Amino acid sequence: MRVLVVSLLSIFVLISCKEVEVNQYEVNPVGVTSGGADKSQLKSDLQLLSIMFSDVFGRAISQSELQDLADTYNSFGDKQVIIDRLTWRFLNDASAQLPTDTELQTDPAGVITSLYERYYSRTPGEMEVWYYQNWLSDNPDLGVLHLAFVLLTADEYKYY
Amino acid sequence: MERRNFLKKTALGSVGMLAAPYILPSGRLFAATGARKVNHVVFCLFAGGVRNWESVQKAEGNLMPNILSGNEAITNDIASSMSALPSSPLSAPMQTMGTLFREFRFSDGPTGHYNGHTTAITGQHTNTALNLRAAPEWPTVFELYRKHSNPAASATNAWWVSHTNNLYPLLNYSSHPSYGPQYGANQISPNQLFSNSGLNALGNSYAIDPDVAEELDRLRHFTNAQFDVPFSAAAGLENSKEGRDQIQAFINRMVQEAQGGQHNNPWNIPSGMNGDMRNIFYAEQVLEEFKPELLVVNMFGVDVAHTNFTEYCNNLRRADWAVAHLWDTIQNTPGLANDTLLIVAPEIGRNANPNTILDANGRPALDHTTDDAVSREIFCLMLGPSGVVNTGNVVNQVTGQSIDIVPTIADALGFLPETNGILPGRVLQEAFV
Repeated sequence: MRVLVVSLLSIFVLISCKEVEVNQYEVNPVGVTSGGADKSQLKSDLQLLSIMFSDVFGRAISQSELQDLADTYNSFGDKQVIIDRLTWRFLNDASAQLPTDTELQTDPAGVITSLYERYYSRTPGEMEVWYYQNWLSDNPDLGVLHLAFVLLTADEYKYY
Repeated sequence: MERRNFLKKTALGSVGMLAAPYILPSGRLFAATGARKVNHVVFCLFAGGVRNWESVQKAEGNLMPNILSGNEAITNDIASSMSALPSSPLSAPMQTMGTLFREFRFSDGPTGHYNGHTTAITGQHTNTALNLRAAPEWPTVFELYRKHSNPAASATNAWWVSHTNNLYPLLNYSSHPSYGPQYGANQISPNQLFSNSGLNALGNSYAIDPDVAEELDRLRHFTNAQFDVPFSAAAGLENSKEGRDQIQAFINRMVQEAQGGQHNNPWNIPSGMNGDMRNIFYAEQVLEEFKPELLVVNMFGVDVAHTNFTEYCNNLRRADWAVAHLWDTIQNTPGLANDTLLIVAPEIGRNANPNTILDANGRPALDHTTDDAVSREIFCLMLGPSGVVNTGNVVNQVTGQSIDIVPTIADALGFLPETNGILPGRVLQEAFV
């Protein structure tokens, strides 16, 4: 019995030590965006508010405007609740600088890319553009305001 | 036989592996279903630093006629400077409806607002340095409640209504490794949130059609999935989707009412509502909307005593009236009436000796910086359903301290057994039937 077990183990060891043939496949160089992978630092409250203001209105926020926003921001504990509200208010302001819905209908990929570049400082991946375009097709009544709202309230926007 | 043993051990092991994640720190398999005395607790930090001399000892007369029995006349110079208030919202002084600890104590730690607040909300003495922007080291009553209640309590069941967002906004959860934001309370500073600048920042309305909101959530979910770091890890407290929807609707209503002027003076106070009254007013709105099981609200107006003794007395009267209004609202809100324990206590007292600042009446002002014995003397009032709380009960001897409030709340809400070993204080049994 012992001889049989030792023999079987020896066979297994020999098989397992067999050299594995390595196949190498080559692909053409592909430009890969880094996505949000290089963003790991959480924006401070003041950074988040002032950067969002600049991104939406195309101008620097004044000290008094920032103080008012910060006071409001600090007045509620669930930050996603207050971020959603402030963002919605920004985007519905008449002076918000956004692409038009007509531009979105004419060139959805272009508008999606421009919003990614403005808010995330990167180009969107193909998958992201595809998903956003598909989402727009599913929701023809929604437009630039809604795309901008999602991008500004998503996790990536809170990091740099 | 060996096979049978193997199967038996395997089965036992599997059960153990399945059960292990549910075993609580106390070693119990499930959270205790401790008998509740009530289903709601409201803790009002009658805060800002109130000296027993001017409150329960009535050195200037009865400045708190809504809380305290007695018709002691207010000192002439103070009385002539008082703002007019409406008649009491209640039919009798609150002390007749519950138990008054006349000689309560803030027994340890610096007699500052932060330490007083932190001790009252965590049930722990604290000697840490003054850092208003730091979460407390020990778990707050909110975290104890949410972690140890069974069934688990949602965030909308716990609220911290803070007088300002500069002081104490971070007392809704601690930095304790076993607790933290996932068990925290919703924090709101309504005086700022619904001020003119706050209303301007919030905008008219956050009204998104539910179907649209669902689609936005779907797109945001996809967008978040492309990013490695979830904001929730840094966002602090989180509500469920249903909780957030209810909160947004509540804020919408508050904004619309405030913009419509309905919050200018809803209590019809002849001289207008001060910050304490407004904070209590908004706490009442939270109570009516969410019917939370645990709400803590603070006041702060009496801290004017640092520079104006007469106004300190005036604001003591206003705080007294506001607390009476709070109790009246609780007792007239279905779901809360006759099922709520109200605890009222200052966080600290004030120094025995005044500073050098004189007010218009020539009265010297009071600080709370020397840690003297008088600055540790406070009171505590507890009201609740008859049959639960002793009524008309006055405890005159030195009894109870501020670290006893958290275990008392834990006992009232039935989760005290799970806090064994955490809280140094005791249940204020003298108040209970």
